[in-house]
Amino acid sequence: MTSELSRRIMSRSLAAAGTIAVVSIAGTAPAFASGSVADNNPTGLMSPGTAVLIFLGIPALVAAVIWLLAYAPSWTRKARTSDSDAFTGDALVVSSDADSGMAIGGGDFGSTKTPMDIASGIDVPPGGTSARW
Amino acid sequence: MPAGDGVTERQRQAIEQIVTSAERECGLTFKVYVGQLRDGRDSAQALLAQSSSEAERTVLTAIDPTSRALEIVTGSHAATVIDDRTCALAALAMTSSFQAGELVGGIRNGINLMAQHARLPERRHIDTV
Repeated sequence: MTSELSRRIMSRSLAAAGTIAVVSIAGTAPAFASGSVADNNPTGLMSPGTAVLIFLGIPALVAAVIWLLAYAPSWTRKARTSDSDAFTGDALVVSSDADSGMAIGGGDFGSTKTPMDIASGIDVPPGGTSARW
Repeated sequence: MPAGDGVTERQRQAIEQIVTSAERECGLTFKVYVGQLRDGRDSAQALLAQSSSEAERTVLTAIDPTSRALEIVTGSHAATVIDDRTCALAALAMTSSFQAGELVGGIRNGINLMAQHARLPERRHIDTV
């Protein structure tokens, strides 16, 4: 339990450190440029490599950072489970009326009697609603 | 497979508390069924009919998580204090929670809402003066 917790803390720390490093490098990289584009290219035209780096590299880097921020948590956490989707068991009936045929843990509903057999001769309940999700 | 597998013990206890609280609040009998409803609403009505003696005072909330179906069935007396509009409102509250994966939360929202709205119909023209 403790080792799992420490492993999880470690992995989260590494993910956080990696994200911070990438963002920092991306943000400060222009400061390390040795010279401006105009110095290297007196004609004022941008070289193809520089154009690719600026117009493709930067958007790709931004997209990568966003992707990292979005997906990094899933590497260290389990996916959320849905109560309703996870239901695979037998029927559960909860009622305070233990003497009725619907006592807690009943679930004899899947018997040989069809619902119409059971309901025959009994007043059909008049109210209620139906819904789906 | 034991009955109720798929719903944890803690969830079952929570649903029991919800049912007990609602019954104490409005005096009706609430039942919650979580499982397969093979014939949809007919199954839910048959399930309510199984509770024979208390059927007319019972509000059954039947949930089929597999087919994502919800049926609220009220007995003849219960229908006079919890009308279909209230049931529809409760169903909306429940399905909203079910969509988010909150089974117990949805049951709590729906049943509490029905218990709070349970009231006798307004009587009119009873003045004898």
